[in-house]
Amino acid sequence: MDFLLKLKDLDRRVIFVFIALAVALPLLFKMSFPVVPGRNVKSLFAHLDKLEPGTRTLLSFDFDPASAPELHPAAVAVLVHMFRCQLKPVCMANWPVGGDMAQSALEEALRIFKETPDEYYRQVGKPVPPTKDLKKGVDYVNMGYKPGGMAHIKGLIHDYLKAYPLDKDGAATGEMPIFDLPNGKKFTLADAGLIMSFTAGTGGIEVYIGLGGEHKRPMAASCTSVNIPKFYTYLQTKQLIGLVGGLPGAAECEALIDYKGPAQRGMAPQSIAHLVIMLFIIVGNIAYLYELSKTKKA
Amino acid sequence: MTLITTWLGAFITLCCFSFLYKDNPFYRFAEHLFVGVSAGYLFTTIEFHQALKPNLLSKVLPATFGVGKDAFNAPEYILLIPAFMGVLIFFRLSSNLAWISRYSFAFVMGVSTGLAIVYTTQTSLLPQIKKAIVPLFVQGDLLASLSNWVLVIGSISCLFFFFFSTEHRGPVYGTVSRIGIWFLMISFGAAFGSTVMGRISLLIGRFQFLLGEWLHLL
Repeated sequence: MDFLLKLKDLDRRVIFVFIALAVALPLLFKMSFPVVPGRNVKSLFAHLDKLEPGTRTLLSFDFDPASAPELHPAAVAVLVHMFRCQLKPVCMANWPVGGDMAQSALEEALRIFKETPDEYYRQVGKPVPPTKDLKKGVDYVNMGYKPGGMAHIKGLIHDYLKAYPLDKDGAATGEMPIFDLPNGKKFTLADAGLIMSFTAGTGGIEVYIGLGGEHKRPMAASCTSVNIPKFYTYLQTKQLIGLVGGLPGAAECEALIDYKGPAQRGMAPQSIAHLVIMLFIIVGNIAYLYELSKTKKA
Repeated sequence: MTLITTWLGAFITLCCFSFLYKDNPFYRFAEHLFVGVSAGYLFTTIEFHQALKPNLLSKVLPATFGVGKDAFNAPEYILLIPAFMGVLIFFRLSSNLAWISRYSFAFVMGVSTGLAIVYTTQTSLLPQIKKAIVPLFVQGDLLASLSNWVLVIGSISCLFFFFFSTEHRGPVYGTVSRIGIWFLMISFGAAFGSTVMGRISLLIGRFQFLLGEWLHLL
């Protein structure tokens, strides 16, 4: 039993090797586990399904490359679903590199949308979109980053284009058809069919929730795993209609759009790595208790 | 070009991973490179092109920086006031004149504090209090009743724990605050589990890049 005591002094690099193997081997052997969408993701997609084609939705990319492995797949899946529902996403960012994150997600989502066969729409009972060549400024737009946080968002409720005279690429937004609403008015935050933030930390969905009393729009969030316990409270209070939590949440989104992307492929290594960590915690505790009993006896 | 960026990305990733063995010059190189590139990219590409140019220069000097119809707009000289306050912040760089920057900071702090009070009250305080007032017995739904009991006991006992005016002792105060500690421990466990899950997700992302985009093994 003395090997248990040796485990207490195990070199941390041995644990790193085990974790690396637990992640690499399932990826190399293409292991896959079934992904069952949960109600928090399903409620978000159900809301998108209910929106009228042509409805503008606001997507806020409040993360940077450090959180991209968790939030990028979710952003792509949500964008693909929006395009398939003929919704018009208006992307923006409260984080400096969020505009680049939005651009990368838009490019990937447009490619997946373009490759969607017509058969898919018949299977899910959706009308086939009139065109698969979506145009910037007409069907979607990326506004890029703006500083200011809450003060900035507050201004967007009544006049969106004042803060955004140009989009991320420097094109004039005043002449873009995406901001011309069917009722003849210009788009504001209060016209969005959904406000969704891909949040890695502060300055994300909580800013929009804080102004919920003013814009009165339904809100949803996609967050990193670290933030899941915090954001669950907003689901309970119904301030959020849906929550995509971490990589598992992104995998659920991919399952709902019938696309096997990086999040679904990441579920097998994720589960196996968790098992390895659990094993280490259990063995570590057994070793601790064994040492404790030995000390007491002595 | 993609090939070069992929190889560069793989090299930097491996430099960062090398820290897991021990601190070394490769890791420090990657760290310094990250800080330098981030600062440069943030100021030139993002702050200038996505904030300063469209929101200040194109409005104060529309004929020069305006795009489309905006080039014919009247100049908005009032924006020079916040621009001037922004410039004052740079006085932080001088030890003798740093006091000048305090005027701008005072303004920013005042506005931020005012907004934060409204924001915290609306996001967290009032809705959470409202939703903590729940019926303890839901007819025909045992699970909902149990859930509501857990919610109420958890909220009250945790609040008791954070009441520091009295010592955490005695049959009532001591017991309730001890229950509060248990609830807090469970929530810390949930937070730790989520954090581990997040870190593993990031590792998966890097491995997908290394094994897929770089080595083409996936």
